[in-house]
Amino acid sequence: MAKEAIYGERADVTHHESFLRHARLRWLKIAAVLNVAAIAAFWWVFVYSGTRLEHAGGTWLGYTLGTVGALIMLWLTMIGIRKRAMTSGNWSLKAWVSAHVYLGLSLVIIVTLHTGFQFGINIHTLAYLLMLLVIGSGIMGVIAYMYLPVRLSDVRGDLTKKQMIETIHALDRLILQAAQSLDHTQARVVQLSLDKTIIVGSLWQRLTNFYPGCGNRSAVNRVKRLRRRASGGSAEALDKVSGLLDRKQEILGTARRYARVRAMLEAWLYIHIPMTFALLAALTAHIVSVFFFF
Amino acid sequence: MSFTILRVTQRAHGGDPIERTKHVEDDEASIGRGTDCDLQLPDLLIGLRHAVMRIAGPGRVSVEALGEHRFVFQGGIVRRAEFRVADGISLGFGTYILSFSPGQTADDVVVTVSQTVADALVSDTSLAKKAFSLSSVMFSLRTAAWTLGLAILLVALAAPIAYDYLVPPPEQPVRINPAEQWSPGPLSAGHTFLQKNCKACHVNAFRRIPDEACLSCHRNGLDAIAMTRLTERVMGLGSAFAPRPANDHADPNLLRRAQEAPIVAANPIISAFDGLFSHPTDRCTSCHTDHVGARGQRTADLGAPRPTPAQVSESDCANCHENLKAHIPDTALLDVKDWDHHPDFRPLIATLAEKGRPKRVSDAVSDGPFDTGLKFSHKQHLATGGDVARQAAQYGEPVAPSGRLSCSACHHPDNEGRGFLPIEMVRDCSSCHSLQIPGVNGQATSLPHGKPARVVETMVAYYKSGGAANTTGITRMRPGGAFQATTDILSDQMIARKVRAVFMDNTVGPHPCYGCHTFTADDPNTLVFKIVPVHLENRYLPRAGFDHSVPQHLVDANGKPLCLNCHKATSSDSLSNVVIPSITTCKACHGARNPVGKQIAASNCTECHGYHTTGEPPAREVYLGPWRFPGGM
Repeated sequence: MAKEAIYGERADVTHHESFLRHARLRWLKIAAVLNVAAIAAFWWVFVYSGTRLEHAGGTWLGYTLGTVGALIMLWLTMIGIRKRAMTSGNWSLKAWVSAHVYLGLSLVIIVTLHTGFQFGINIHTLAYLLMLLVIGSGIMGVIAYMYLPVRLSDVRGDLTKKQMIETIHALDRLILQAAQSLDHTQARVVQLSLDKTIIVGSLWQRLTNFYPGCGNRSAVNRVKRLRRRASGGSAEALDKVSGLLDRKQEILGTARRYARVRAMLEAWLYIHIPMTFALLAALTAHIVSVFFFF
Repeated sequence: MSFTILRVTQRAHGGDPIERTKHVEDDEASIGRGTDCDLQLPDLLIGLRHAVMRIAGPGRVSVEALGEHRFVFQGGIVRRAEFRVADGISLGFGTYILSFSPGQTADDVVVTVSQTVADALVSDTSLAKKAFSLSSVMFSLRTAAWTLGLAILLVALAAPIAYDYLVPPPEQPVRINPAEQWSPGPLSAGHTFLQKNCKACHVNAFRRIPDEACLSCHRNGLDAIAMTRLTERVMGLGSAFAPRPANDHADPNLLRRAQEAPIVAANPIISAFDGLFSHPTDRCTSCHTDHVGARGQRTADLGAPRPTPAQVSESDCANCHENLKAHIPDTALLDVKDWDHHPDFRPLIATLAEKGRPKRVSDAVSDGPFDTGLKFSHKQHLATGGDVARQAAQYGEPVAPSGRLSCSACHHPDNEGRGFLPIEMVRDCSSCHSLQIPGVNGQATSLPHGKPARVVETMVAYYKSGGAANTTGITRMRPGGAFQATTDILSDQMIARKVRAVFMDNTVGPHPCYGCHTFTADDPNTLVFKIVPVHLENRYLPRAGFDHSVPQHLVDANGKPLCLNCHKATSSDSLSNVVIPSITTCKACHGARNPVGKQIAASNCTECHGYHTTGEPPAREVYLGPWRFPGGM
């Protein structure tokens, strides 16, 4: 958003406005109005007029809430297509994400009212639970995108991803070189670092930053023990290797902290996306089944 | 004797491999990581001096590992190997592969050195960059999403549809029906046996449940054979009870005329969905819904369970009854908007007995007074401290504390809680109004009630026998008058006069029959009498199901049991005076609100009226025996 030039400031500088605060919370307001209307209508039909809650989805309000909810869900899934096309202005991707977040959250109320609080072991409740799972993971995603991108660059420091990997590989080459004069036992220990190093590991290792089986960690410790017993040229080589292994361990730490933040930024998607598809399928089954056995 | 060592290194970014050769002019060459080895392999898995290879004869080579070292030969890990060079043998040392082949001269052996894995340390960093993305260690999002989505579609949508179209409706209860996952909840107690038999009700896909599906079990008016067959069929499907037949609320034509528009069209959203999927003429499911569980339903020992209010959707009586006259001008019913505008009660009396079914059309008050055919005065019977009460007490009948005859002396609770058994003379009156006469030879005998001809016969026989000659001096029997025993033999004429007096005259002597009944005779001298038929109305409000057994219905404002609170019987000296209370009496509680604005008693239509049988409100108690009077009535 361009703003007027103040002396000494550039006129075209853009101020960052997050997708959550986009257009002065326009979509939060729209979602709030939608929800207040839904709650008021629900109160009027089911509390004030005393219509029973059983089969609330089949009342005129139930059909309305269900249709609105289903249309919102379909629109929300469109973000997968929309994000691959660039536009700007009111329908910029940021506006779209803002609407995605707030309309998505509003489903919690709209669809819960649609259920009439009638739950059971059936496809209908499955669809509802999947929706909650999608929304819950979406909330995790919003939180991740609020706090983590800053940490991502903090953690990485001056290094790029490529540099991290290249540094590790360069260190590997140096380690290999430095270890050539070592005897077989010592060489095998050093080989652990070259063969068994886990740079970023599995999802669990990334999230916990816990790498018990990492070859470099054991190589670091064991080379230090070997060094205490070694002497002469062997000791010199081990010193050199040990220093290189320590440097590698540092870089690995940075890479893993980075991978941890990356994992947290991405993990929610592994629930959000598959569950969205599951939800669409369950929603289809829900709608078809309701009218199949009308 | 010599070895030619040929090293082949692939270029990192493609292109011709780099080849370097080295000649070892000896019949023995060392292999190891050490820089002093003839064949140096810079792999930390390989010992500094790992092995030695020798020319073992013409075209033969032997390789022997040193110390604890090993190498790979023909798939096994060995210490030593000997082979023909011409066989193209390869040996594995760490990540390196040594391939042997004959050289250009007979003495020369070529050892080609290559590495099994493309040098791991020169791996593509662009690929490594991707390692930071979770996609490198996680399942593919796209595959997972499609797999999950398609699996759900298959299990939760395709399977039930296929089952519905391909499997015929079961004759026996089934174990698994894939469509059960569509069931929004358990069925009501009466329908539990259909839980897995979706097609029993959901006959057509994408169509509302037709009335025919309901009526296939609940049709009313079946003969005994048809009903037995139906019960057998339903029980064969697993039901524990025979189905409960349901009446039509009214003639379907009338129902259609009564509605301004079909109920479904009352709301545009509902009508849009219904228009897509249903036939608007189907009426059962416009009120009845199931899959709401059996909460509140009665247990099986009382027969097929009745629907609870939760199983009947909001049925809007006013939709038709608010403007019924406008749609059906000839209706006898009055328009009712709601309880506040409910017209006062119109006690109905059966005036036109059709074959088998009395037609209750006449308003007993405004069209009356009607002669019930019985001479009876509640006022007289209920007089406080009067002869009636005194005599009743003498005969062991209940008398109220106020000193009047108790209502329960004559009126006996029925088995439905609704009211009272129809009055029967012998049971309800004869303890005071005895039908006994001294009888022939003093053998006390009862006059057969309701049979004038036999009464005449019995009495004539008594008088002819000489009557009191053999009596024990009883001069008065209990029915309402002195019964003069006689010792004389009477003439036939005299007997006829006496008997006629019993039926027709209240001016002469005793008149036990005439006191209550009216008789007609074709001829003043005949002894053939006809009773004017008695029409006692047991339910004046047949379209409502007032329940006398409700404790609050039997007490006055102070909580004291009192029939006379509602029924002003003490001022009624004829049965033509209907003692049904007005609606104001009901409104004292029903619809009235307590100081905090809550209704003291409900005022919805179904409190008093049923739909299929208007006098059977759905919430009424189900009785298996007579209800009880509270004490002091």
